[in-house]
Amino acid sequence: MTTEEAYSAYLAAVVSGSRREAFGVVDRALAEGTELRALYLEVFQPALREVGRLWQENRITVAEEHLATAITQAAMARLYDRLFAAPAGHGRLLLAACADVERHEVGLRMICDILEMEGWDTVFLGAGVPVEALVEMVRERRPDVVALSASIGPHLPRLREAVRAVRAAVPEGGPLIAVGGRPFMDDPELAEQVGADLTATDAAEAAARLREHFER
Amino acid sequence: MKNTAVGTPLHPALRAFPGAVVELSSPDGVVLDSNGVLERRLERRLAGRPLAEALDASSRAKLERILTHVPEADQAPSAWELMVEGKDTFHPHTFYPLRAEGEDGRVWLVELPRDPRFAGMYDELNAVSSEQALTQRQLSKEKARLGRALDELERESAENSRLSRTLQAQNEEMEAQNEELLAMTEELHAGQEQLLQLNHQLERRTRELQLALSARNRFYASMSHELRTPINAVMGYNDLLLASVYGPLNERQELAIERSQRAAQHLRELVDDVLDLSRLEAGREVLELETVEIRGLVEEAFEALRPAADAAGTPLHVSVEEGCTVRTDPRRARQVIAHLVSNAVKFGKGAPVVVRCRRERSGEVVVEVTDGGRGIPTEDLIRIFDEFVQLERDENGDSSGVDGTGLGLPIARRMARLLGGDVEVSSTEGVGSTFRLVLPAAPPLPRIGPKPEDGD
Repeated sequence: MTTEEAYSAYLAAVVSGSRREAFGVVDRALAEGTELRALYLEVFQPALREVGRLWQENRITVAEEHLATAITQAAMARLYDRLFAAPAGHGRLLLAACADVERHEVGLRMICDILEMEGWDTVFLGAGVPVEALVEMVRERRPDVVALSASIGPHLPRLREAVRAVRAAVPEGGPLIAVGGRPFMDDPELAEQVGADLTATDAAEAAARLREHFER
Repeated sequence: MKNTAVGTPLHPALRAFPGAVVELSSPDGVVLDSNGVLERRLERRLAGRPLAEALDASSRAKLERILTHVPEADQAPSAWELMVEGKDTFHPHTFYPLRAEGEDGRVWLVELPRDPRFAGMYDELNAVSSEQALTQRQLSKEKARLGRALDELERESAENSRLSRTLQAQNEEMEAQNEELLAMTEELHAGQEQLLQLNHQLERRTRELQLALSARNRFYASMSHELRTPINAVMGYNDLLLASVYGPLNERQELAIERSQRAAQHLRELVDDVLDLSRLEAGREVLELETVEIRGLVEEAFEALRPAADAAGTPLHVSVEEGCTVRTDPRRARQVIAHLVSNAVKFGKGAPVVVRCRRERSGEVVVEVTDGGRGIPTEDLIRIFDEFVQLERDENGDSSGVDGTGLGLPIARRMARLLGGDVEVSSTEGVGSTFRLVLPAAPPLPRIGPKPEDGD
């Protein structure tokens, strides 16, 4: 099974809402030697993108989209034992959160997992993290990177607030702040406008840009 | 709200509809009228503005398609989900686009009314699902961390058990060595026990020997003393008889008395010697040390032995080198010399007896007494210092020629040894014998206590 075949089979499974079929595809791909990183970047990520596109085409409803996302989250969760079994890497810490009102978390989770594969220590706080809780966590853990995401434009003001609060919490030598999500894919310049240091259009690019930043 | 340009207000039935109803101009999509449900929910005004301004990018594209592909009034509409931005926008709204019959320029977007309870349930399920994924992620991460810690522990544990095995092996080796040592110690103890027993036996034997010796010596001493008294009486009466105190004696009587006197004399010498010997053996001798010239001692001995020498026709000669001076007990040394000279006179058969004295480099003084007797066979040389041995008497069974007790040489040697020296002999058959007294410049520390000799 090539990764393309795995992608097609997986997409069909999640669009039809078949959790069992989706897990079966993942298990077969793994059994045939597909690597975790390839599963993430060549199966999960494009499948979810395609689901979004199908919604945009009005070919599926948001309920189906959410089901596909939930199945993918579960499929990823099944891989965590394997993912974290790798020996600890350089141990740089990334703190990730979907700021405040944001509910779309799977993209950010994917970035965290990819970074984890590259030796990062990532703490994923999930969706709907209140700004105060995020700031508290930043003060406590002193991460190298804080990654925040927003899925729609209306959430950008809250994201900007979160960025400001993190900067204020650690005025000197504070973390690098990365942002991502649909609005930044459409207009990368928004990242600067909300006060972030960098953005990326997908998990692979995010990992590459962070690697570049810290190896410089 | 009413768009005067188009004129017709929203139908009253739609105005009371629980879902949002929005009236748009077509194809530009400006909000002409609405029933107010959407505005209330989003807390934003929509009327008079293009609806696209309130939509996100993907919904905008959808709206464009709705406005260009609105089904005719007699066609069943399909649902469209649009993300309308406003307060708390999390979900898209599902609209059914409707074209009013005969009203070309207008499109109604009618929202399927949503049961708020379903929306809440939906949100709740979503939250649970993402919470689960989050928890799973944290658990797996923690599990991996614990796994690594466990691996570390296992490595340490393996190392520990390896060390423990090594220690145990060493321990076992040490225990084996210990057991060996214990066995050796036991053997040693057994050996010691045996030695102690032997020692006890030896001590007992020694005590018995000492008892026997001292008993013998006491016997000799008392017997000698008991014997001397009657001998002295015999000799005294003999002297008185010979001095004719009891009347004149005829020639035969005088001869008989003289014989009796000689026999008594011999007997007394014998008793004296035995007394000396027993005293020596008892180790009771105490040395009285002086610095003495050997020549004086030799001359004193000659003086005492002159009558016997004259009777035997034996000339006595002495030659003493310079410096023959020692620190010794003069009485004992003189006794030794006298015994040796007396011996030489007895066995020399009239040949001259020569006494030579010289000092060795070591400081020892050597006194040699040489006779011209017939010499001593080599095999007998070791016996002559034994008590009661007289070679010639042994050979002949006749003591008439030689007068002696057989104790002279043993006594001489014992005394010499008491003084820290010795008596040795060398002899050539037919030529004569030389007895050699060796005296140290000064005697060693006196021997204390009895020294058992070769048995009884």
